[in-house]
Amino acid sequence: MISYKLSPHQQQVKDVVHWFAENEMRPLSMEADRLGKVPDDWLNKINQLGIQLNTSSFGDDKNGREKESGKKVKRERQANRLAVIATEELGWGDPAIALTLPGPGLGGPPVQSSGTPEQKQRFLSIFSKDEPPRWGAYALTEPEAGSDVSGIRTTAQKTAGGYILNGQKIFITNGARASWVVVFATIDRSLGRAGHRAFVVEKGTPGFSCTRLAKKMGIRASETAELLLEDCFVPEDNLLGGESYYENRGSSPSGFRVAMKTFDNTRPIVAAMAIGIARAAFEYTRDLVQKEYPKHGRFYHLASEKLACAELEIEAARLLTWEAAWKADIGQPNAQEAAMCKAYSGKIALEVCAGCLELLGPAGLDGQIVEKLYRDAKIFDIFEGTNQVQHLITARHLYEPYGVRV
Amino acid sequence: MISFQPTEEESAFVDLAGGVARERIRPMATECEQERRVHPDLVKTMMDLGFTTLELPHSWGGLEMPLISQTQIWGALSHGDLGVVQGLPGAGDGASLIRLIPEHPALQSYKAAGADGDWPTVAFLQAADGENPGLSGVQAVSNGSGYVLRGISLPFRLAAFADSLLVAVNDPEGETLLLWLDRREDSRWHAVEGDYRLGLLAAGCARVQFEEEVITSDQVIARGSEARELLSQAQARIYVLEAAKEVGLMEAAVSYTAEYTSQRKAFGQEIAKFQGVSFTLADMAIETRTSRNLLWQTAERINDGDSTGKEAAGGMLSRVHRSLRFVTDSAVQLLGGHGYVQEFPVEKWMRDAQAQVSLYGREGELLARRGEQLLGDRVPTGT
Amino acid sequence: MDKSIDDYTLEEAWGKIETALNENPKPIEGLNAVYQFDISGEEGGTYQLHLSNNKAKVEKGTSSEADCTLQMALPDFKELLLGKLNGTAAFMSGRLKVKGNIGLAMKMDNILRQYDVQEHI
Repeated sequence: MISYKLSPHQQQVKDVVHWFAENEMRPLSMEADRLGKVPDDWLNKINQLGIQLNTSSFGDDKNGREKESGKKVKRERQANRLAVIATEELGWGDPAIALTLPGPGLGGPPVQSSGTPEQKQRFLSIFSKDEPPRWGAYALTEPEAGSDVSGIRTTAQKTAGGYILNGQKIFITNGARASWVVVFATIDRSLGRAGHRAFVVEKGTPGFSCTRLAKKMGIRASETAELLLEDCFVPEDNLLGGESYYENRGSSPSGFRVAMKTFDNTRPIVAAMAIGIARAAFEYTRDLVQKEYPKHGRFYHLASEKLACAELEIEAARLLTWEAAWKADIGQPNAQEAAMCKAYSGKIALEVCAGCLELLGPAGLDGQIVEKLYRDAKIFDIFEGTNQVQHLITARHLYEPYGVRV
Repeated sequence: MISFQPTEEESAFVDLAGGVARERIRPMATECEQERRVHPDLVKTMMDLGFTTLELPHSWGGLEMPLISQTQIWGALSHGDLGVVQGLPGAGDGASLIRLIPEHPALQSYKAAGADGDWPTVAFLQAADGENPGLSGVQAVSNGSGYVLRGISLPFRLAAFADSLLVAVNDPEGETLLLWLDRREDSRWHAVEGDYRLGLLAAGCARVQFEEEVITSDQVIARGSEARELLSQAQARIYVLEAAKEVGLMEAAVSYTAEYTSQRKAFGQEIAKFQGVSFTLADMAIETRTSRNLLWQTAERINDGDSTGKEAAGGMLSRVHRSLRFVTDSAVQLLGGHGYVQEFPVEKWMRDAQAQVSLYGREGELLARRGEQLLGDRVPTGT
Repeated sequence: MDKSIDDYTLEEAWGKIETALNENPKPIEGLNAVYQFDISGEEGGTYQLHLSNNKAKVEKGTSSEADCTLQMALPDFKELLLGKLNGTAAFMSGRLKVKGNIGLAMKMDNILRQYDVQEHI
């Protein structure tokens, strides 16, 4: 049955995360942006709470009560829906802080989906509330290659017991603080996709370093690193999925493509965060207009039309995102929906923020959260695939039934 | 629980409607437009299959279907042709009021007239919005126990075919009145022949002239706050059903354009391979999906009796109007010169779309009104 | 021999919690609230934890209106006391349901974490 009502569980996740966003993130938001980092003592405190930016932290509880009572109750998988519901709240709290929450981050999904059991244990078990905060990261982008992965130049040369990695990675979220980074490289550029490999490179590995932290328009409290791999030896055990994973390629999708599939799960998360940003700007501006605008006249009409429009765009983006997450939960291909929700949310987040700034006028420049949200929002139209890349993916799926590849 | 999965019953109905749209409605669209009415054979098919009584209550022999199900069926039918769908006879927009108050005495004459399942055509004249500019000249003047209607209305759908009128109008004191008028021998209202060329030409758009039409008290459905409440509830349902038809047309335009641009070649390749084309198609698909989701959300809320659904319906329709204009215009654009000529259906779709948004509320006005609600009483955006 | 937590009845466990909180009231300082725990299962029950003036008092049943109600199954409650179950994760997975003031619920998770309840039981 078609329904957009949250279940009690979904509502609780939303309420709990919203409480966290309002009481733990918001008070820190402007200061973290000024500092260009999230304070360590805050991260230590938060790590103990166990809120992570990670689909696997929601729902699908493996130790559920069903097991105990002996009854097998098949529950609908809903991790993706819970994740977008929670992430919208985190984005509402502060996107840069949300991106800095301890945990495996974007590095988690490829390890989860492609790692060997041993690798999953080794790399994912280090994130615990009883340990210091730790991070994982995901390093695909290079100066000459982003969404077009065929352009990857980082090389992996086979050697005794492992590989020698050489290359440069840029725009890597949490790249410097990460305990490990999933690094994509090629063993032979002439092989194209078949030559791609994913490695888990651990912090402190000789030849692996962070050369620079980028200074950015927004999400300033989030660390964006440039990483350098210089004759960096990575043991075989850190080849994601292990050698056998890449051997019988013939018909089965390459390990690399499996890792890329994680985009279909992460794009709705990114979209949800953008929606949270837009909602934050909208609510702030609506409250201010209610308090400070006269209840009639030209400005009032301008404001009411703009706010109604913003509310609709936010709702529309949210429903597109829910649809992409729902499809993932029920096991249907969702690449088109994931691309559509990301394209739409990234665009409207900035538009809503710009509209709110218009309503605030020059006062919006001075120490108000909306200008920060505007700066933060722009990246959501870019990372995890630019708006143009999302359009390309959407169009590809639309033309697929007609036998044309665009 | 968030889900986008239609029920099996809904899917079965949508399949049926889709077949009718493809095999009956689309092939007859041009003919119906030229004849300026829906062909009687097609009308009979639609009545036999029950598509004209989806909104009518069970006690009236209707299907009394939930809004969320109706939106899917109207969408599938409009995939065939919006002009045909809007020209179907029967209770039309009046059904949404009947749904709310099926036992009301003022409606019983109409109920009796349709007892055989052949429902006379109802046109709904919304002339109660005092601020609506455009020389709406219908006035209700007190006449002892009843009223007298005089003046000429703005154009509205099905007016040219109407056997009965549902009229919302303000009396001289500004009180809202809801009236029901069956055509009788001594009726003093008639449709005025006009000069309609833009679109929805089979939908019977016309003005109605009232020449001292006397309204007796038994024709008054409601007045004052009761009338306003009924009107807003019925209007919300109508907005949902109209948006559903618009979404159906958008879906048709997206799939037609995808197919055309995947075959048409220029500069040595399918034009789909030019990103100016493929990105526009992607935007059309996104706009369409966006509209459908907002529509479903409003339908669910109204179905549940959630007052936020009623409040949000106007805003939703405004957003869907915008998408409809964009999508149908883009379809014409991507077909190029072929889009502009009548050998291809998209030029008609664009005209129908523009006529549709002209009939059902001004986009900016609907939006501004929604905004005033937002600023007046605070509606939480987080669901 | 120490008893393990599984050997205690729910009522005994609550007795231990009360003792632990009153022996070291630092984490509940300044907290004035009534928590209610609806613990389901055959040996479950409803308990209220009244915190005021840096004192803790446990009562069976619903003698007052609770500011925050936590609902969970008995095995989960025991795991929570032992620190094996992360409260936030339990909220997220739906194993622990919260009604009322969420901020108070989050504080309770913190409070329980600061006690080595096992030491007392």
